[in-house]
Amino acid sequence: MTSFYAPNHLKHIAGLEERFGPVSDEVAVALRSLVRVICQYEDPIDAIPFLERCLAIEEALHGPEVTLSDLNTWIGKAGGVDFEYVEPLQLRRLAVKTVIFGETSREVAAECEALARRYASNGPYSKARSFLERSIAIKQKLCGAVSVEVATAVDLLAETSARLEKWKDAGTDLQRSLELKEKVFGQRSEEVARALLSSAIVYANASKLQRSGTRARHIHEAVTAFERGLTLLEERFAPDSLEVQKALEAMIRAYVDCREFWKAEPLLKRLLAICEQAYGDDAAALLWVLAELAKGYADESAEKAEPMLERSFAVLRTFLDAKKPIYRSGIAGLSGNREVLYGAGILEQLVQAQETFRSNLRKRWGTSG
Amino acid sequence: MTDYDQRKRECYCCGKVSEHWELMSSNSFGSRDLDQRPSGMFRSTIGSWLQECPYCGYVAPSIDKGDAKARCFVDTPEFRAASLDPLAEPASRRFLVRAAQDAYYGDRRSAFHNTLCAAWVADDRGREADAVALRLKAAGHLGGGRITSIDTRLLLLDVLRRAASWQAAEALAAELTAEELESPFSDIVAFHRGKIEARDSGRYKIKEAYAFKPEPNRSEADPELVKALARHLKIIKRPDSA
Repeated sequence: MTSFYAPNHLKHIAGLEERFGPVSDEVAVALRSLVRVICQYEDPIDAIPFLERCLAIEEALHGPEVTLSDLNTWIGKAGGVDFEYVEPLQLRRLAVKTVIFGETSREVAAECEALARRYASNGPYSKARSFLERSIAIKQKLCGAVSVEVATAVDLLAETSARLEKWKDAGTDLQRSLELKEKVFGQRSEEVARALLSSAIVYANASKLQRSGTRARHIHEAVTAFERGLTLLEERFAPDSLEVQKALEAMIRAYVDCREFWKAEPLLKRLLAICEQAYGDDAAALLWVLAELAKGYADESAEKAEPMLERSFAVLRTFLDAKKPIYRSGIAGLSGNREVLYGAGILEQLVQAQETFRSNLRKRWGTSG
Repeated sequence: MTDYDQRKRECYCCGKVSEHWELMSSNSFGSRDLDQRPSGMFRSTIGSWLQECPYCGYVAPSIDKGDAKARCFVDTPEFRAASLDPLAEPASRRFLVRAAQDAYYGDRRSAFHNTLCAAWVADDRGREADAVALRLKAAGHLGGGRITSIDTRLLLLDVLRRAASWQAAEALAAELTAEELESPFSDIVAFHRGKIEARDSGRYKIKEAYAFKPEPNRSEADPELVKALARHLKIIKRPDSA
């Protein structure tokens, strides 16, 4: 026992046990007070044995319903505690809530989602999925199968499977979410657009480490979903709106991540044109787009690599000019700033692209040329 | 093996659909020319490198793709001038339209390259005078500002030599030599210098540049060697002075 407070409290509790009996409200109150003191000043894990004793007494005297308050208090204090310690108590809280509110209740659905989030972060994935499915089933009964609540819950399921890179499940979940949103919000709604864009990113990611046939199919699905989603966003907002820019950026990052530069290239060029229009030809916001283009062209031995590199370095130079440097605070205030210099390793990317370009250039003009 | 397929494309600019023969596969085994024209079967596919919309004249590698600049350009007099050129044959004209678009938006390097492609078409047709004129036109796109790119200057050097623009070629070769470039670029420049001196405007491949060994330059003697020889001559007395 590592608790500083426990020995004195336990002496006091022993006296109460002698006087009122081991299963008494007085002992439960003293144990609860010890649990609170430990949670407040020490490690909440040290309070678990006392909490369990307290809960057992409360349950024996008054039934499981009364334990909810103590469970809530301890779980509320145990934010930074490893899930292995929290899991049994949170499962116990779910069981208590099921008794109090019934299986088909918002409280049980919320507890299932909370547990699923913890399982998604700590594993296993199968448990996260089963709790989310349980939450969806409850919401379907409560709000109807075609409802905003169910759509949101299915979104959480899709987000979880995608985050854990369970691409097959993620694809199915996103399709389910899309169909629901089409019914709930309408086929040309913003929600449907965003679901399509999420699907596109998932399909692109799912193509990684796949055989060429499967990869090509996933990429084709990604392109189709993205084009549909982008068209809807363009209808709803302007073609050069911030929403469209964000969608382009997300899809570009997904394509670049799965080494599909030629799929990313038209989107990069479009985003570049929008940013040039919005922020000017030498704005900081252009840098990552230029660097991605330069890197992609260099990797693909494309002739556009050199002009793109020259332009990227020229823009970068405007921020690094020794005679007139623009410091971090100055860059932060620039239009379209996206941590261009200090966040994304632009210089490293450009130097690497330059090296690739020089190597390709030597091959181009060498004996193999 | 070279393989084509006929595909329908919806024009990015006017939206009308037309059919085009598209290159599906080819090969380019062998050394490229000194202006980077590919070899092998791919060399003769030049006619399919660009598509042209038969309705609005928009030219692109694939006419169903483009950007806002492309749409704007088809409304300019520069586009109409290039597109309606009665003298140019179709393949050549497509490159020239594309070059006009590049030039319009200030992309000198692409304008140069597309005009050079038009010259390659003229080469293939045996129209030497047109090829020379197009090479000079290509070089003209690179005027109006210093070019730092080694790649572009090596291409330009070949273009100037092939167009028999000796003075400009000599100046560029001297500039590149003075930069003491690393291999393989220095070998290419040395080869060109030899050909420029010989007033040779022929077509050569990159591998031929490596087979070439420049003769030692006799016009510029090593000053240290000259001094050593002079000292040596002073020491050896003439037979009649004895």
